[in-house]
Amino acid sequence: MDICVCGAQVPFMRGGAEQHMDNLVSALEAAGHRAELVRLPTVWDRTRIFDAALAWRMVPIEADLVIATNFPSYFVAHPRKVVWLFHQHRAAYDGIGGPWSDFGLDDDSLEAQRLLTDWDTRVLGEARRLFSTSGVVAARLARFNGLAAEPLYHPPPLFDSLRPGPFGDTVFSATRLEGNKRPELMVEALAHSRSATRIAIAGRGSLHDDLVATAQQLGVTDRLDLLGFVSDDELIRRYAEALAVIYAPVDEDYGYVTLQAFRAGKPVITATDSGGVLEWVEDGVTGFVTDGSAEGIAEAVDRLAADRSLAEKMGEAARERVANLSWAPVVARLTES
Amino acid sequence: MNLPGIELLVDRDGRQVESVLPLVVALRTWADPHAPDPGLGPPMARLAVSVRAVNLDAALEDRAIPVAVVVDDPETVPARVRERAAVLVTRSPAPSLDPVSTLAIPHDVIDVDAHPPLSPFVRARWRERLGLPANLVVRVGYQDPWPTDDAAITAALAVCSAAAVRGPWTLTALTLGTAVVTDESDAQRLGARDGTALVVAEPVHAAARAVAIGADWPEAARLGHEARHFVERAHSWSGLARTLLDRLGIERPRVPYQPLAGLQLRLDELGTPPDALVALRALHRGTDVTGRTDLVDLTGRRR
Repeated sequence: MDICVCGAQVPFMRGGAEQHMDNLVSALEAAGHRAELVRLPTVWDRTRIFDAALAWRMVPIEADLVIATNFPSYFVAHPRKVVWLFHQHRAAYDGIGGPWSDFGLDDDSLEAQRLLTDWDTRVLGEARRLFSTSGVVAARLARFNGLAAEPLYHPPPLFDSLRPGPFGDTVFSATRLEGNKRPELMVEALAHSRSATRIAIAGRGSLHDDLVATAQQLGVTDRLDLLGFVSDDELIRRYAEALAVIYAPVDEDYGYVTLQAFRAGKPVITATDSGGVLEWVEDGVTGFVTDGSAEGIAEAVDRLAADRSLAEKMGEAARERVANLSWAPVVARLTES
Repeated sequence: MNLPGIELLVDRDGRQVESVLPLVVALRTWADPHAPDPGLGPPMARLAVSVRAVNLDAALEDRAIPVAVVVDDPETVPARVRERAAVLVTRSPAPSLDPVSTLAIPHDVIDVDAHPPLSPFVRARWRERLGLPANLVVRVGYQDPWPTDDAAITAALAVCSAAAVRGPWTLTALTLGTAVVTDESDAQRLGARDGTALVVAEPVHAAARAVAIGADWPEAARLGHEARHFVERAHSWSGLARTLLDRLGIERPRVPYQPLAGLQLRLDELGTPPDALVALRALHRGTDVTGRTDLVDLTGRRR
């Protein structure tokens, strides 16, 4: 089949969603289809979000099947449209009240929110099949739009390259240094940790300088490594040599970090409000689900540092948990509609 | 744009036209209803406003062009009409009529554009702004004194978590995407099924059911979404026009090739209010390109 994968483009930004789209196209091609990624620029401010949605509505696409992924690409009109929902415009839904949301309680905000919800419900409801990347995304869709989606889990980038390794003295994390990822929790946890464990964080973001300042203030700079951007090889090595992985974002959609850590046989320390991460991390089995405080995360780190056999046992369970992840069944489900 | 033509057959006195005027107006989104005019060529279908319409007999003889006929009483429809009309349009459906070839116009038809839907989350945000309780259930048409302030009732139905409603306000509540609990008689009157567009409960239990549903956002969202869809399909003139075209076998053009008309159609199918900023901006961007300013000519709609 000729398949167009549709996704939003935010110029100069590249993250998990973009990797996901690329990997989907590769997986479709590996299954024998001709696949193209179609992207249209969008912006996230409240006054202009409808323009890109309407633009998608007008775009003519000649293909046997379109697979739309994130807001506003699922506004594409096609007789054979399947939606694999990464996320909606979260600033208008569960992100309300967050620092990245520009929706208030004024007339304009409430009408924009009403119209967006109505538009979303209509265009998502018209899809032949509605899938989501995780149960969290499906639950949001049910809560906000009254629509049912089937979670469809896929392997993260580097899945086939990640490998278990020796359990070292460093707890690792790979995350953008932004507010919704809460990297400050890891820095603050160092101050509460009684072990000599180090924390290394790969990734860049606007909070970098704040994290450095916090580490200096807490006197933990000698145990914190802010690695910035790292290559794939470095990432694989860091996962393999870690004692555990910390990943405690706010209400994550899916969370590649969790799956990559599990694939590398490492337990994951997370928080009760971390969303999709909790679909994988079972407290005391494949990691620890903390209360999201720096103290709670420090306690989990100390437990694993003091009991490496526990870390190894959890790591084995974690690797087993993701053993069946594969693109083939995902592609089959998406294209059978 | 060449929309499919529908030839209107009217009575000599023209009195029957008014009864179907909203339907004819709604048909204009996808078709071109027009008076008989040989210069236009053969129409795709004909719509006779009554069994006494001029030239109806000749139209029924022409088997190549389907005819819809508006009838007052289906039980007394002349045999020639019953046998040859493709669709009988009636406000008085009878069990003896074939539902596939009958378009029953319900007694309750509502202006859906004037009642935009609000999801549970948006309702909760409005309650937050207005300082109302987190789970606010309203009850209309039960033992309470009959309210007289229509605007206040509409506003309450728009912001509540769920509503126990019966009587004439039930359709308004459904149109607003409210999670509605009502009684069996209202469900039957509206042609709605229990558990899809609304929930049926004994009057004594209605408020309690509404409270439970109001606290269950996914269920309230599902009911509200299906309620709105139901009203748009079965209780709005545009929904009835779509059904009539389907039954006449006229394919509705999905994307007109005049750009602004296409844009307008997309806005319509998304349920966009005429005064929504995005609609105004999009159409005005269109006029920037075309160099024309008369949106009525370009889109067929007054803005």
